[in-house]
Amino acid sequence: MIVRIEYKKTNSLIFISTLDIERLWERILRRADLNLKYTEGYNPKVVKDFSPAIPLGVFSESEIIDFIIIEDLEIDYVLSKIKKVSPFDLFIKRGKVINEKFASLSSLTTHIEVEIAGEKVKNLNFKELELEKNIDGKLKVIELNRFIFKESENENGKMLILDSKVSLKDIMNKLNKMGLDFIITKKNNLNLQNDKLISIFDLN
Amino acid sequence: MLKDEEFLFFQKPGRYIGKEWNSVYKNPEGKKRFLIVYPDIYEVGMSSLAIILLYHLINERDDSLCERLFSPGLDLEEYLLKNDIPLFSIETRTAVKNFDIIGFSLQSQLNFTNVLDILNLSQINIFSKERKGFPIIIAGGPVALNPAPFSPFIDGFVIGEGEEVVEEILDNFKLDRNEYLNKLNEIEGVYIPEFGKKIVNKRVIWDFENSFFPEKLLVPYIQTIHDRAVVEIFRGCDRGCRFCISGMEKRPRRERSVDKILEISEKVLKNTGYEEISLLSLSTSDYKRIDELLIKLKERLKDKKITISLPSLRIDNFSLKLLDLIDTGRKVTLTFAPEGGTEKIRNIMNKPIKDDEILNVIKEANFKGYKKIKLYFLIGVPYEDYDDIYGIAELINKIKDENKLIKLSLSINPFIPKPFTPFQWEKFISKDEFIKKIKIIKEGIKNVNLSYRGWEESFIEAIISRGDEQISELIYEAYLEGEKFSNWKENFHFETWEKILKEKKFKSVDKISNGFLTDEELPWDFINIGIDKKFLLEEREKSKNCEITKPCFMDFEKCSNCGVCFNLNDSKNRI
Repeated sequence: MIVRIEYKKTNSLIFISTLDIERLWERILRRADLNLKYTEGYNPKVVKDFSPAIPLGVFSESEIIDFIIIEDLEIDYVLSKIKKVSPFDLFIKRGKVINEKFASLSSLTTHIEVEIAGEKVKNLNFKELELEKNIDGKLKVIELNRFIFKESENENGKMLILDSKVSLKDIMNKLNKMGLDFIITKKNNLNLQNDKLISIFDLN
Repeated sequence: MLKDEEFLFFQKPGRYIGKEWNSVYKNPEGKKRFLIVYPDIYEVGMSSLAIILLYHLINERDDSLCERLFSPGLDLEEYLLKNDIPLFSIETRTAVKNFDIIGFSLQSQLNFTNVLDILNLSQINIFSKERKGFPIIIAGGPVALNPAPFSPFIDGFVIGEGEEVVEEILDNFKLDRNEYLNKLNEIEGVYIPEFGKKIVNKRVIWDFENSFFPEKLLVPYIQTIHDRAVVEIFRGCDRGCRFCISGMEKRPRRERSVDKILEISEKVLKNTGYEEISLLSLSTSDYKRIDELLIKLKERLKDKKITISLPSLRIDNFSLKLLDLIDTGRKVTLTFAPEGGTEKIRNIMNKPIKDDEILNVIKEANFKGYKKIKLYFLIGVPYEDYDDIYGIAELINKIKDENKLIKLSLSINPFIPKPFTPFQWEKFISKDEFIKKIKIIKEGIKNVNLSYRGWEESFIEAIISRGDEQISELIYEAYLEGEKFSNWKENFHFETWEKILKEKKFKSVDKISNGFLTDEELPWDFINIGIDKKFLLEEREKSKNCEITKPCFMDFEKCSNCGVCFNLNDSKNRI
């Protein structure tokens, strides 16, 4: 059965890179002592898939992992086993069994929802921001507007729905350059279907 | 104290945030506070079994806590100095100076300047005699076996294995510095320089089978050098290679039983989730029941998809059989250390491997699909002549001729005479001789990837290894000149060390580079590692005649009388 779990990446884990998080999950799943499906080859790894990577320093309220257990188990039983062997800063929100896997979580994620919190951020018009990207030693200017699907305000700052192709790292660099204090939290991974955005967790 | 988010400004913040799986957080109230320190970056230090083992051992105690510290990266160091923030532990970010005991693990002579740097960043006086109150600075590990060059900076040295002595250090804790140092001075295996030299007996864990092994190993978040589970299958090595300090200092050889290793392995893997386990020792293929161990371990782990790795394999067909036995299918780079280019020089070193054995093993490895092979050699070994150097090139060429498709790497290290070995009196190779010999090898080989350690860093390591108290000034001056992480090639500045050597003209440097007389007192003579000096002298004589001494595990009836089983063991029984 294919298991999908949504978890939060908080506190100490925001300092851990995507590759290290993947290794962390390899070890969590092995510690959970489930009957897992492994890759073939010389160094078998748990078959697993992740939602798109986020840069160091970004909190996340919605990270997704899919993996395969080669027996049928109750999802609550699986979640309880995983929770027991997960570090405190990796908070398991929910899980479910999915019937079939059509595509990778990265390719399914067309958009991400992020909160950019900060007093001064509230007054910022993100549609006007120009990001700078160093491509082969040349500085290229990219208009953030191209990637913004929706911009709104909340009590902490801004909520943005962005095309998943955008680089959060570039946004962070820009805001740092502007001398702003901010905290970025990824709220959701989304898939655009018929003009409707659906959370990746809810697919299948 | 730095806040979490501030770590984002530094390279690899994961080095400093802690909270790894199986890390231990304790309320400090009423507890003896021990900080264990590895004077290199997190990724290196967290690969040291000694650090992890002592961390968990101390944290098992209800009356104590142990936190960790590694050398900060240069970016964090700069920030701390600029903002006058004292260095702090990983777990609770407590200032180093607020701990009761700081224990340094010394694994490399060249990074001792990092110890001084850590003391300075912690706002602790660098010189022991200038320190008042706490913390008490202690140091252990292989480099501490010759404490002389470090003695002005360290309050107490631990000689030998740490598991029991660290408990005694904590048991005897006193709130008054002088009273505590006096108490420490009474503990077997502890040397307090302030109280002068006395005979210090190395500590040995005689009941290795039942000795502490942490089943809940720390699992780092970020990738470390050895990012895998480990289980120590035996300690010590009695092969008796005459250049090898580990082979001498870690004697006697003590094995864990197969059942115990299986039990530990299963628990460690269950508690960590590691996908690989390494069977650790100085020479893994020498474990007496290695076949049985591997067959049983493989059987028990077969459903878990765990890779077993075998470090430190000897160059023989048996090692290849063992690789077959674990059958990962993975054709890793095979690393062997013949050390010498001819049978003669290998006999001198007491590593008697025949040329044919080397050639056969590599042919067999090639046949089995191992296409990348790395070979280690030493040059500048006592009684070496140019035939031995031409011998390296000839051996390499023969291997290439017989195995045209393998990718062969050759790594050359200058031989560094180390204390407590039969070669402890010998000279260190001169720069001219080293260059000449490297040139011969370079010109003599084709299509082989050759790398060699610089003569310069080896020379400084040689001086510190056999140094006396004077050498502490060399280390201190180098530290003042900014030498840090000097065991990393890119951070080693020979011109700095050379300038100090020229200015200070230390009397002992000539002796250290040219060798000691066998009847003169050596700076480490007051340390008793259990091996008789008579044995070392006999071994030295035997090496001149290319005579071999067999390991006692192969020929138990013919004890080589190194002395270790009798000199340190209360029961006076051979083990």
